[in-house]
Amino acid sequence: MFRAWLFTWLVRPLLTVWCGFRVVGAAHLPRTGPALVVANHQSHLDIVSVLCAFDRTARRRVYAAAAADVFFRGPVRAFLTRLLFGARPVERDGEGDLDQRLAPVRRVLERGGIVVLFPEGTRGDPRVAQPFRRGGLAYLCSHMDDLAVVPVYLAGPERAMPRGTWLPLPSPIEVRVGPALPPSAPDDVALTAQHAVSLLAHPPGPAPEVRHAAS
Amino acid sequence: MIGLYLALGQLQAPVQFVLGLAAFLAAVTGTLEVTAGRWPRPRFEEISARLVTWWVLLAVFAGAVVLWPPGLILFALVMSLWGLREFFAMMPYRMADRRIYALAFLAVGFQYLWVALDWYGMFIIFVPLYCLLLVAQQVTFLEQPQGAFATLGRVQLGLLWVVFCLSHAAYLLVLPGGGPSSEGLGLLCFVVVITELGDVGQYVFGKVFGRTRVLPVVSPNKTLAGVFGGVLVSVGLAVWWGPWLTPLSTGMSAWMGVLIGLGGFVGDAAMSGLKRELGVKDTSAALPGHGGVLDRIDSLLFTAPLFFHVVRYVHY
Repeated sequence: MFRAWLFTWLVRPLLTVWCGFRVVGAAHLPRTGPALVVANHQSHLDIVSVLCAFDRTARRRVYAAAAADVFFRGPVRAFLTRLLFGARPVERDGEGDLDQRLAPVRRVLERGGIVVLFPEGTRGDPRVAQPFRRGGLAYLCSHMDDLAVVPVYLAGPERAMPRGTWLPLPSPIEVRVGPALPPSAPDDVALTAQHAVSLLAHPPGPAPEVRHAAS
Repeated sequence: MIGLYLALGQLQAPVQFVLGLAAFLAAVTGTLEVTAGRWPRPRFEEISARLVTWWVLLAVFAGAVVLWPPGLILFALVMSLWGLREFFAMMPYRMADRRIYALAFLAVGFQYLWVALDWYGMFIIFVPLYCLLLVAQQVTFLEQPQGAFATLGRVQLGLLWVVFCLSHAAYLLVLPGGGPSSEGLGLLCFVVVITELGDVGQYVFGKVFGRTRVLPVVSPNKTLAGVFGGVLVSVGLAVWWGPWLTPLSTGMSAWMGVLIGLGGFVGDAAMSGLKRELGVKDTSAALPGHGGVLDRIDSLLFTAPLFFHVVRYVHY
């Protein structure tokens, strides 16, 4: 598969050399679906970083939920986002019901896919966490019993390639993966996920005297 | 460059030297494996990780020495870029400064271009003068005075400390004049390997005999015995290798050993001090067992320019 090949042999090596790309807790990444990977969102490098974090075999099953109004505007753009990121369109603020708006995402999940979702909905201001939107997560969790939700915190993409820029600068990128969320009521999933992601951002416990630079 | 490649036959001493290093590392690795049972587990893991990293670094270094010496300029360039990335990543960051950081990384390429061109005048003035002027102009024209001069300080310090200093190691390669030479290769091997082994000596002597702390606040792991041990190792190796790899006499080599031993100690401590102020332990996790690239080359950042200028003054 072109995307798996591209990320294994080109994108990840480049990101490793250029940005010191690194994954912490890779063992927590789902290897089979249906699974949702939820992450904070600040940069176009976010989806690239998450795709890089997977190993080659798992990556074949990874798809990105992308805003239909941005990434599927026009046939060329739609084709490219599908090809490079396995993107599936989500109508962010559409009038239709969730059944309709999330149908493409649900289809790949039902086929055993892993979907990367940024529940903040858009790239917020760097370092200011936007609230996770509830609707999509609640809908998917209530319709699929065996759906695993894995929290991921992305540290660094907002600095390497902030909003409005198109060339990544050499600046460290770290993907921190946490264990899958315990089952909870569908309406609470967004809140639980947001909490898990913020725990990955700021690990609990007494403030360490020293910290690693890659943050 | 092609001429140099064809003249492989003349590269006898440095090639022998790196092969000897590989043999030494193999002996250390073998000893560790044989005595594996006697080490506490975490300690063994740590030393193993360090040795694996040493193997990788030596493979790249020796590969360049044997196959294509100009590649060492490229190697130093990559180390500078990685080191600079780590240096900036430790520091606070203003979004507005993005362009200045991009220019700083671009300047690294130019600095090593001057090395490759053997253009000494430009090499020696580019970072301290032209980069300073450019960065000052850039931070001023951003029209964001709040924190502008902190940015100027951070960027210029990074360029001087990580890029300018390390590029001296690369310049040794072309120091004798007329492009990369076997003699330059010998000088480069001499300062790099003695600095690193001096580090190891300092670490081992410190662990075994260390009692009195030299800098208890800034770098508590440095002990008097460690520093003496490091200098001792450096001098020993310098006397052994100087007359063989470099145009230095035995007496001069011994002094260079002292300079490298002490310079390495100060360089290491200076970076520790900076990290301590910034609340950082390792500059990154790029080199398993060692920390970041900066943690590995911090002593070389001081020894390379010191050694370079003494040798240049005395011999060229």
